[in-house]
Amino acid sequence: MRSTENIERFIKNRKPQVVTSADVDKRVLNDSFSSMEEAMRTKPVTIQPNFGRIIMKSRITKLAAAAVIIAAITIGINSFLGSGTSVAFADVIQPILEARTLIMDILIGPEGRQVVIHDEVMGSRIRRTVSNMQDADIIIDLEQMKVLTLSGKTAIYVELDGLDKMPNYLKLLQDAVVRMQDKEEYQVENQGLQEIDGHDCIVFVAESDKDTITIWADPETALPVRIKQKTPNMQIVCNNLQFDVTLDESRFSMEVPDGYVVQQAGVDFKEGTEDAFIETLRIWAEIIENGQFPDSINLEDVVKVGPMLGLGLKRANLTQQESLEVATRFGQGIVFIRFFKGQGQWYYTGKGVKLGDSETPIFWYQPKDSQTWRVIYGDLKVEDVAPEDLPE
Amino acid sequence: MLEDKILVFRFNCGNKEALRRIYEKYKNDLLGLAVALLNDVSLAEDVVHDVFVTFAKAAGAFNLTGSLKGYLSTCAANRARDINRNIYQTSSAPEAADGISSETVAPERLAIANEESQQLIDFLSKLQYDQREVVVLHLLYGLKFRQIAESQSSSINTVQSRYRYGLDKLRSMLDGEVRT
Repeated sequence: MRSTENIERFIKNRKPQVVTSADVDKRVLNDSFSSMEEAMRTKPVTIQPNFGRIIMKSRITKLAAAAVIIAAITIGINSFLGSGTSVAFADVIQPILEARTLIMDILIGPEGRQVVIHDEVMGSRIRRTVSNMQDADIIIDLEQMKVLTLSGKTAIYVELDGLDKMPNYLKLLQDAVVRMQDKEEYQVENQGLQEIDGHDCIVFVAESDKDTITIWADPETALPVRIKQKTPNMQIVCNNLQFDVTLDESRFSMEVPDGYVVQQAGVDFKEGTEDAFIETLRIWAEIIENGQFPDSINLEDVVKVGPMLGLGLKRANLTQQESLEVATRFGQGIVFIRFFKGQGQWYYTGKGVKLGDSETPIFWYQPKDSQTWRVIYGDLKVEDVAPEDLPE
Repeated sequence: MLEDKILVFRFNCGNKEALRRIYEKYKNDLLGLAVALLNDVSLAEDVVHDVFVTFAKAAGAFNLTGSLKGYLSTCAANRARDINRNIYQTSSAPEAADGISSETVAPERLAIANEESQQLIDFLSKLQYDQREVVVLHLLYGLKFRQIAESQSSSINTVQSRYRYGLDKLRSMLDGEVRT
């Protein structure tokens, strides 16, 4: 006599494993698509969202999405200056090395499409505001590798895993400058004087095969007033640099004031993998762009996309926790292009391509030490492709 | 669950790719469920077809309250029950009330399952249909008794009784002591 548990186990172990035939798949999908088309024709406005209501209710979701994305692209200037310079640069940057505080505006993207990030720097802490989410204050603690975003009565902590701690941000810049002095790959040219905002500035241009760094500095004080870095996939300008401005230390506190709703998320910088990036592309197409890939995925697009992702998550009727999970996955993939580790540059051609299009390549890059390229298609499959077979 | 909610969102926006992904994700589970209930692959394929065509008609207004898998499984069970009832009503054979005799199924259509699964399907086909349905939905597809009770318009006690009777009968079959 078998026990009930035995009978149940017997049945569970024999669950029918059957597969549909290709003919059935074709018939079901064709008929289902026809039904779907008919349904959408007859009730196209059934679930039109009430955007006013959504915007009011989606503050937390929107903020969470934006906070994770900002955290994922954070640490702008260390990689910016860490790329290389020369003794001439070091002379100009000397004021940075001696500064206790720094204020600057970081402009991301080409003119006309720029996003402005305003940074106040004190030691290992940065207080940041971003032009497309002006109601949020972002405090970055580079020693604890944590980002706190405050908006309304909501606080989002984002842990940054996989990055080295930076006890002092300005000290880090100093170390970077010292290390850069030994690099020979940069050709530095003094281009003489150029007028910036009514003032003459001396201009240095440093070029390598991958990027160009331009510094405008006051010829009398040697204080840099503008720094621009242009790489194949990105342009960042640091503008309105001010050194040793008196700043209120309380503005850099990582403590959440009383009465706030606190949420937690994390971005792992070690896991900025191709898989994570593909998931980002999927979410971008599914949640934000109504089933097709965005026109471009440059850094300025990434910074701008936070509020739109928040709105999309709300329209998808996800809970706050689910929204934060999706936003975290989205931010995780951003690390892949933000801190790109492949050879040369990456290429994106997803504009107008629909998610599921198995024929059209949307992104390709060459991994480090690889002879072939990785090509991602509209259905998000990936193929290894020889250089001569790359999309034009 | 989260992926399903996103897919449903895209589905409600009229995105065919989302519908295709939902189909790919659940088609074989639903086919297996229908085979276990009807012991007939052709009819089971019809169930899958009808479930998805009906589901597609809800595009633009579908409201997912529980799990998508649970919803689709319930739809498949409802459709299989309708098919079984129709067969019973049009058949003169009284035994059809308890299911479709496996002898009516062409052998090549049964080649889809392995030998052990086929043995289970054969045993299940000898249960009364309402008992079979509870056993299959609860044990193989994880539906709660409450969900099954709603689907069968029965009380939870009734559903649990059907489950116990079904298991008892299966035990008898397995022990070679089939009761009449």
